[in-house]
Amino acid sequence: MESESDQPAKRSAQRQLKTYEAVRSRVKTQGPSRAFALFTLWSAIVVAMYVGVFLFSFGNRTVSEAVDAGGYAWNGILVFPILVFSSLASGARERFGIRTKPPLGHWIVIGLVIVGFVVLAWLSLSGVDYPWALNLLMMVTIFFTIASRSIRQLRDKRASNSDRWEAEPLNRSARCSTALIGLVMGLLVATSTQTWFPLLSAVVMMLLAVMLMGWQTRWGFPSTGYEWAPIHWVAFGITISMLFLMTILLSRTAWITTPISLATGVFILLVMLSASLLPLRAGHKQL
Amino acid sequence: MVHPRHGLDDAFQTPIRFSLMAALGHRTEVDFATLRDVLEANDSVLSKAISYLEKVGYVQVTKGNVGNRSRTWVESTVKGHRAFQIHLLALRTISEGYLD
Repeated sequence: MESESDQPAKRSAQRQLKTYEAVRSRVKTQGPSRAFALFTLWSAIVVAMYVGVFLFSFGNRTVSEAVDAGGYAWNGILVFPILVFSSLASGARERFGIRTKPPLGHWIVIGLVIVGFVVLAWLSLSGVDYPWALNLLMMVTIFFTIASRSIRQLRDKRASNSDRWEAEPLNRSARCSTALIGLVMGLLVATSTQTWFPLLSAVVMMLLAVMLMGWQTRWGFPSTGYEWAPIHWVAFGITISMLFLMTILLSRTAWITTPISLATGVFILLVMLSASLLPLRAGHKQL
Repeated sequence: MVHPRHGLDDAFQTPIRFSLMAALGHRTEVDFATLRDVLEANDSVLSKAISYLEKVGYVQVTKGNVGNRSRTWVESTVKGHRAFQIHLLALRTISEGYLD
């Protein structure tokens, strides 16, 4: 039989459990926000596209076939934006007050995808043909591994809008970094049809390594990524899509002539240059 | 029969530490400013609670630096999450009147 001395403990326990529910409810209204979910989804798209473009451009062909087609030099067009993206994204993640960490299963799947990636690369180098649909499978697997929680969250109408992603004019260092990203990406594409492109690509990678050393400075890419508003990410998305497309076309076709690469390079530069100047004044944009 | 109060953890006996663990949940990083807003606590009280729980291994603190901005991120460790779940289970048992 329950004694009277247990009553205070029971009431106290009930109060604490009510506090627990109230705090959980408050946290859920704060986040992770829709903005964080959208950003994670966008990141999943970029990573999946990178994997797909890499496999499609350089996979399922022997080394001699690749050399005949121009070698692996255009890998520089592919690698530069993904390295820059990961730096920018690390800064952007600092914007969000509540961030989820993926469960262990997520990392197991990522590990399996990496193993699959290496296996397909090894098959290519060994001259072993494999169904091209495996490339697609890799892309889809990595996309859903990264994006599934975000998709579920976005479908939940109760998802928080607490992280308002305000569009404000970039500070000077972010503006310069944004323009520099456009300049380098534009340069890589514009010169991609030149015989000395591999040398330029190597120099760009060295400069990127130097830039990445300034990780924590206000000139670093994470700081730029923190400053970026959705409009900057859209511009970046447009330009890296063009870089990914150029990688495929350069490695698989002979369609890309010097005028086309020059025009594309200039376009990329103009897009990022425009983005660096936007928005012209502070505004509010809610995601 | 063991009284469920033995499942209660001293680390969660203060309201702020209890609420902090409730806020952190599982596999979620929350930044200091957001925690302060959610828990309606001042910096000093929250910092002390975080330090205590970090010392007993129940939370992990990560400092982030982006340019000249610093952020402090707090998340519960696996040990902390398990301990808090046991504490909650004890509370539920007590609240339901375990001797009924």
